[in-house]
Amino acid sequence: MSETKSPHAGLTRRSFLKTTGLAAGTVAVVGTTPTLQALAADYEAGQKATDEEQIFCGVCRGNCSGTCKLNIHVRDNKVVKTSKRKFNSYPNGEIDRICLRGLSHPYNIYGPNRVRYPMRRVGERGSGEWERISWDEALNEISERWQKIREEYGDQAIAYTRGSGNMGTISGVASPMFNVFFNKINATQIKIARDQANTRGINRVVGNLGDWVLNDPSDFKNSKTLFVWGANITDAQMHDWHFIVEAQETGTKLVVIDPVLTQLAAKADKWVPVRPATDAALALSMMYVMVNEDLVNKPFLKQHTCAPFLVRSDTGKFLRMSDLGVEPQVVETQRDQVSSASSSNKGAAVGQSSTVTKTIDQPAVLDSNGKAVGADEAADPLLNGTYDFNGIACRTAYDLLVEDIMDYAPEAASEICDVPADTIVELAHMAIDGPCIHRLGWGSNSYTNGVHAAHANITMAALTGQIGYSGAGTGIGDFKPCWGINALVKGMTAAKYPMISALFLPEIMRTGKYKGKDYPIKSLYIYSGNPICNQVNTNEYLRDIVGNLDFLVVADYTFTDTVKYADIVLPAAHWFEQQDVVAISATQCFIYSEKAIEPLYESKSDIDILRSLAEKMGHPDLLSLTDDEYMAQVIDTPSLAKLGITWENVKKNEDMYWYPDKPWIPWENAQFKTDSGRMEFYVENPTVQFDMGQEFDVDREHLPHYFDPAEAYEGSPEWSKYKLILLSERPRFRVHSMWSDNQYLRELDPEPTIKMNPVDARERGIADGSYVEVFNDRGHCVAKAVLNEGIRPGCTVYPKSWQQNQFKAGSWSELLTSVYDPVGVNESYFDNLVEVRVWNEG
Amino acid sequence: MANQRLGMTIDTKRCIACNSCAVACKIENNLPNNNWWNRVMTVGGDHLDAPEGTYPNVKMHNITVACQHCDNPACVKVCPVGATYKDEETGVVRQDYDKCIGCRMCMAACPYTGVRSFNWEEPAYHLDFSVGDPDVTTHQKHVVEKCTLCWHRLAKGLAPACVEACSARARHFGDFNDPDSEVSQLLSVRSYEQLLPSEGTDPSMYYLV
Repeated sequence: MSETKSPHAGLTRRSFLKTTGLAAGTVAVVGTTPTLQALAADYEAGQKATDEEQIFCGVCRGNCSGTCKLNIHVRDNKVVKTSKRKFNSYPNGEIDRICLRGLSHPYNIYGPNRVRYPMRRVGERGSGEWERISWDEALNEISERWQKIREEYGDQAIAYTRGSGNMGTISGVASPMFNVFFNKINATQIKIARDQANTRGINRVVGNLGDWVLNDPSDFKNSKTLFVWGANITDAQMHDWHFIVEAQETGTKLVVIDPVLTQLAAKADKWVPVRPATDAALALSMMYVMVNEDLVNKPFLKQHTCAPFLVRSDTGKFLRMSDLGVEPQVVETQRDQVSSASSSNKGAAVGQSSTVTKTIDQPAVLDSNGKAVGADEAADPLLNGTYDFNGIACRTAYDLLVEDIMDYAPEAASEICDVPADTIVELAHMAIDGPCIHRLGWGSNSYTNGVHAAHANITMAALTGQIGYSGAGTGIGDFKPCWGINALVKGMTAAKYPMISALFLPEIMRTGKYKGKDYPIKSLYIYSGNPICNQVNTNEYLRDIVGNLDFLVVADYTFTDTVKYADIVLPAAHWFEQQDVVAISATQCFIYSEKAIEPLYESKSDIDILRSLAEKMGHPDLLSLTDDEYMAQVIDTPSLAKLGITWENVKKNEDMYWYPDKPWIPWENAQFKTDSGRMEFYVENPTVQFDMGQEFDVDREHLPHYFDPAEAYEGSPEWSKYKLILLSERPRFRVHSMWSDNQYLRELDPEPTIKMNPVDARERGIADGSYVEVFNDRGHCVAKAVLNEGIRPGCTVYPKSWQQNQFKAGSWSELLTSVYDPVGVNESYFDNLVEVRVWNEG
Repeated sequence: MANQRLGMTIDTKRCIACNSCAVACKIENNLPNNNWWNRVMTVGGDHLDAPEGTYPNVKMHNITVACQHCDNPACVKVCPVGATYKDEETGVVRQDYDKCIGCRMCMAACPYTGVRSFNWEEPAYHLDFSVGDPDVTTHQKHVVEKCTLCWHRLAKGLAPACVEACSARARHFGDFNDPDSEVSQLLSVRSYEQLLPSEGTDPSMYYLV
């Protein structure tokens, strides 16, 4: 092999890495997907690898959405290793995978930060002073305190909440078991308010097929261009990256819209460094180009969207055929199947009939002959036009949309989003030249205008018609829910009190009132979650929520920030110490998670903790079935049986794909789950994610708009004091706050850092590698400054979810606003301004 | 049968610096604290994920660096006791911990700084039991160590742990002397680089670019 001698400019920084390149060939590798599987070990469930080593089938169950199937290697009753395990549902090995987190489980299980025993707080809250108590003492204390609180303040005063720390079906996020117990004692369910804005913006247009749905990543290769909007896939969902690069290898162009040069952006064919919080303006401007150049897909708009619907100027609602004297039809239809990702209380369906009554009152459209007829009857409905209904002017939804879009000419939008006008035109042309897939991440979702960013994006799909077929779609990656499970397990009752958003909780705790009525909450039970680290505005959380609680109980397997403030800590089992099944997964498979070792120390699985609590609270028979029986109750339904899926089969096959087809593509044949079955980009009846009686501007919500976020923009109310937008990333070294204490990973990523552009650092006298204090009115945080030219000037980026004891001072979530959009009711993690200064306090 | 030349191709278009290869190696080989046989670097700025250039005109890519298992290894020539040697059958550059006298001549001779480490102290571990594969050689004080190409796995017909763990499918393992091997095939259709070819070491690690 010969070598050229030309130095490789990119490598000169490190002398030992100087290389020379040899162009042995420049042909793109087409269709050579590696066949690593041939070289990977293949094990049967529970198989003995050697005399000393046994291998179990496990699932990594954190909230990166990967839910990767793992071999759990056990020697001397200890988990010594994890490796990727073959998915039987994908015989070609295309989704077999593991990552640095999945590989480092032994430390999570055996590290010193493990909660070993039930503990009672003895010092001040947060002091970390504990005494070890027995399970019996802990359970007695909890039940006695809860009974007293219920007598004094009412049943609702006991509340419970979770994070996303376990994707299990009986002990985790998707579990109905918590509702079985807490509904029985009439407790208040507190719902985390995360990742809801973009799904709201999309689902109000297309209907609910589950949160966060999009074409399976294996379909990316069928798109001409893949647009990724504010999604740090190479860190946060790295399991999907290979599908993207494989699409690139077969000719798909990758466009990444992100203020930060992520690893993904660095791999893109086109990186669009956009101003934070302005994705809606960019999308609306791309639509301007499509409308202005008459590129929109008119047949699709007419047949599959609300574009021709007439909208009444007096009410803002669709003109209905009943307005025109046509009697509405009333029909009985089957109630929707239950989704494993449903965030409603699992007892909601108790006592419901299997059918629902639906009134069919067609929206009116203008047919080409000028007559107003039902949308489904029109031969060729007009996209543009007005109609006089008894003196009330009506216009088509399309005309209203176009009028809205006309505010976003590329030159005008460029001022907002800082993307050159000619780039906007180029992007519009790429987007119309389909098929294209638009994958939205959690970036635009993290500002108070996030609902509209997603609403704008899905509306663009209505204009292009690129949705619901191979290579075409718009949505959010990449958890997929299973439909057709049974949440009404034995013992389920309906909740007596409404579910409350976590974002309402500070005010409820401050005032003792909910919707104007007394609503004291005095105890909180937290499982599978670490809100003191992961929820916005930590100081508010500690002051208003924790500070007003009489009794905080936390079940976890490691000492987290939230455990630190608990009154009683219960030791939960690690994922590999319990049997469970995963039913929410990017893999679209039920995956069996075998128990590999006994729960360590005195820990118990969350479902066993619930059983103990139920018994102490006077319901000894409430959770009397075995774990296997509950899993069978969830999975053994008629609709899943049609796909051959039963609990017994899941256990036997380890994983079972839950859709009829592969790859899964939502909205096939343009069948949408709205009332009209069409894309209703004009939202006739906007509603809020959570109702606490908050007011909102209905007129603003009908159509997508760009408007300023709460704080993260030049000229915001905080701008006089703070000039840097604070963004965060979900780094590969943790999954939210999980793995934060894993010393294998801490060797690679030892301490909190803040990434800054050198320009911003220079202005503030900050040297690379020095400690800085990041601050605003809400709090502060000290971290090491890392200068990085991939960070947009005027922005800072922190890798999230260090624990309080890992900082020299403060913590990241202190800095985050708890202001929320009244419609999205979502945590707006990026909607913050801060300043940064040198930290000299050691 | 002709001798093998085992090695890897590492696709820099696929590598996202996720560090899964590094952690897989760490656990599989039960590496002592602060010892990494395989490291991940961003080629660009001064930090992981930091590009060269000025925002927004920036670029970066990543490389992973471990023992290059050179066809002409500089380390072998300088070892006074024959502790580091090239396995004739596989081309793997191996080390015999029991022979190593800790002189660190191999570290000085190797042009690929940092791929070897020396255990100045008795190796310490985060956990009080051995993780990873039971067949890896026990780590010793005053001994130089480096990537073994997962020698213990090769014997079982398995690819090195880093190759199996790469979620980006950027790493391929095989015999460059076999023209039909996956790695040879990749070299026939892709542009590639070796690290520091001017050193004349002829590494068996090829970076696809």
